[in-house]
Amino acid sequence: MTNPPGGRAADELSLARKVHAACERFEADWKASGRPRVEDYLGPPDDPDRPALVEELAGLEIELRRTAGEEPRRREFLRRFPFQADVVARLFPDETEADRPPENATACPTTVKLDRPSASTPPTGGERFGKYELISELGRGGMGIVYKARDTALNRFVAIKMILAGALADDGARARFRREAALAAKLEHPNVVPIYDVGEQDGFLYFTMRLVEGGTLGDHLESFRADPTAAAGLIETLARAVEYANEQGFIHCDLKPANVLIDRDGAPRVTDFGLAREAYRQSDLTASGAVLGTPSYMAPEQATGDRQAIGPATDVHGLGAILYEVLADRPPFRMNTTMETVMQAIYCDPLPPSRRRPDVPRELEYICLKCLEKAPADRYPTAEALADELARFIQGDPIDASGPIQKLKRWVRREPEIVARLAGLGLVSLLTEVNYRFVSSTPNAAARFRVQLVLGLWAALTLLFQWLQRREWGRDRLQGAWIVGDIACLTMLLWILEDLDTPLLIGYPLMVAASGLWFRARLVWLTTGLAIAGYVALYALAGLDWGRGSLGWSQPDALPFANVFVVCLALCGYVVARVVGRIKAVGRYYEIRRGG
Amino acid sequence: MSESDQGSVTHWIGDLKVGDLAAARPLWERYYGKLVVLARARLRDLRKTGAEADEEDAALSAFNSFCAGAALGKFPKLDDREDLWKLLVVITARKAFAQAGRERRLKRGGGRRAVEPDPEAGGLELIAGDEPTPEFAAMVAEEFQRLLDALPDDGLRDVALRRMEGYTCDEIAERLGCARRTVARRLDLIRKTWSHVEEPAS
Repeated sequence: MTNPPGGRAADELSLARKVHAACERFEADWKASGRPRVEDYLGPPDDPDRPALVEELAGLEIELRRTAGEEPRRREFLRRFPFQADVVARLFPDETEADRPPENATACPTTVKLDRPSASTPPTGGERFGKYELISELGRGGMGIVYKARDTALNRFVAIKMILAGALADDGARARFRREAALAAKLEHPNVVPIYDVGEQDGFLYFTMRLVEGGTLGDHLESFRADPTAAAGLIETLARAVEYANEQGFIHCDLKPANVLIDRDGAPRVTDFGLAREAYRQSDLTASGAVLGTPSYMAPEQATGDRQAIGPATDVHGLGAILYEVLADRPPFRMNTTMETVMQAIYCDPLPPSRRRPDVPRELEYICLKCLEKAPADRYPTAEALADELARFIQGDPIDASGPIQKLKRWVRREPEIVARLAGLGLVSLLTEVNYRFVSSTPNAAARFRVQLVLGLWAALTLLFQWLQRREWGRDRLQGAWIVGDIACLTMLLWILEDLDTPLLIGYPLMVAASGLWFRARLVWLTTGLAIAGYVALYALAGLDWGRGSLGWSQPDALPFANVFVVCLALCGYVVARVVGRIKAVGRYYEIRRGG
Repeated sequence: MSESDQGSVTHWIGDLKVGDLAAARPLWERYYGKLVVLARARLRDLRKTGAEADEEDAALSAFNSFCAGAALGKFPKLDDREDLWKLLVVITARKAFAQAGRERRLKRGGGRRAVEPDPEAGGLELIAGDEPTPEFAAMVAEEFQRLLDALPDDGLRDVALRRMEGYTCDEIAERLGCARRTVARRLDLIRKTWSHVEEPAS
């Protein structure tokens, strides 16, 4: 909608290419192995191209299935793609909606006009919708579609949001949603978009609010990014509005740039207050998972479904996420799949904004990262506290920046791979030293030196890989190289010890288990293979020494256990790979529920 | 509407009204028949230097089959508003017109102010009248080759060629053993790619 006309054709072409590529893959896979799932070819759920992808891919699936003699039903596709109901309606142009319960005809007896072919198709521009005349579509979100409309009774322009069928599960949820919207209509604050009306029409739940025509904050990020003080002022304003609503008992739960509208005078206004919350409460019901928040901006207590923990600090996290996007030019969490994004939201701290944009003021970055703390107790307790802190920043007063312990904690969460390795290596190095000085009866200075050398090399290798990772080296290649490096170091260490009976052999299964944290079965198998190779190499070396009849191999008894050890390593790899497979299956299920 | 009003391909290049279709079809078929024959001849001339490469020349072999089709009375349909032939001729005509305009401006020098013809209407007749000129046919052939090269893969080229030979979507889908939707989607991508290829030149 906001594209300059010149780029339009290029955009259309790139969209057509993208759709074409996905469909060609889908059809090839269909011919090769039968039954690929459309859902696997769609990409991230918040992709603006998703409706176009769904339309072509689902249309293709319908045709292929019809060719195979099946009769795909509209109902099935509505269930799979609840947020593309309009697309599904186009794919089944002549199937009437038989699934819907009959509309309550007494609700609006004078104005109801049921002449649309299907009541589940959202109305389009120019149509009449109750007392509203729809003028144009303003945008769509997970929950519904927003139109500019004219209230014919009061003759004023409003924004009207239709809640899509499927966003709220049953009549109880719809009734609660209406009550909640009615309560939210009482909110009166210059920076909150006021709700005028809520109701149901032609089977659609809708509410109307003041029309704010300056676009969303997402369209204005650039102007704030250049001016940190303006950014701080913006978040302070929003925080005061959020504080007002929090005091009235409303938690927003879905604060993000798209939910902040900028009016003609440039003043920000928070929209959808109190609505995500009700939908969230319903999230154990079908398909409403999509309104549980937006993964890229989500607080961990939302991502884990810990409803008890949701409170004002959840909205502080949301404000921090907006600030993060303003400063860093991207949302705090973003990965290829929803599952990984949610994992990131739960476990990993976002990269400090200054890594992406070095000119971000340190104090503002502290404030931002404190909002994004994982534990609600570590954030600012209320939006007001955040607003006050931002006010201090704007005035140049010292802020209550968090101490070194908090920074260390953040680092640990942000770079778990590095921290785990360095801590493990440090510990082993320390224990080697302790053993050498106090425990061992026959200290061997040369062996100690070599062990420490390998440990040092390993640590250096870890730091090198971290550096490569930060430079956004190819993920798969890097992970593979990292595993090879780890196994090589471990094997070298064991070789120096010249002893196959050492407890350090536990390092191999440990690495297999740790490789599961990457959620790639391929990497687990790679690690397992390398571990077995490393062990077999050690075994061969030991045998060689033994053959010469000289040093090493003090315990020939250990040899028969070697085959058992190799089998156990393979088994360990199998178990971890299975666990990864199951977690991914759950992740896929979650992704489907998030909105097809 | 008199016969002379429709004596020009600009009617089907420009805004073709549904009612004119029946009258325009014989004209189009005559025009098409001459165009492909002329274009093939020009391509042949151009390729004379490397005569043995003829068999592998996709554009030439395409024109061979266009000619063969036309000889058998098989013509691309005119009623498709987004027909690839129409696109090809429009792109070529615009290009030719732009070239002619440049030459005119060069010749004109200072002084007299000439009326710039509208490229969408009368101006086209200068280049693409009711009879295709050999020069125009040569440009069509060249442009055709360029557009074919602009397509990213053989799957798309295959669909483009068959479509230009006058096959329907259903026939193409059956021949290629793929979904009808796939043919429609590829055609859509072909049109978008070609329209986009044209833009920087205009």
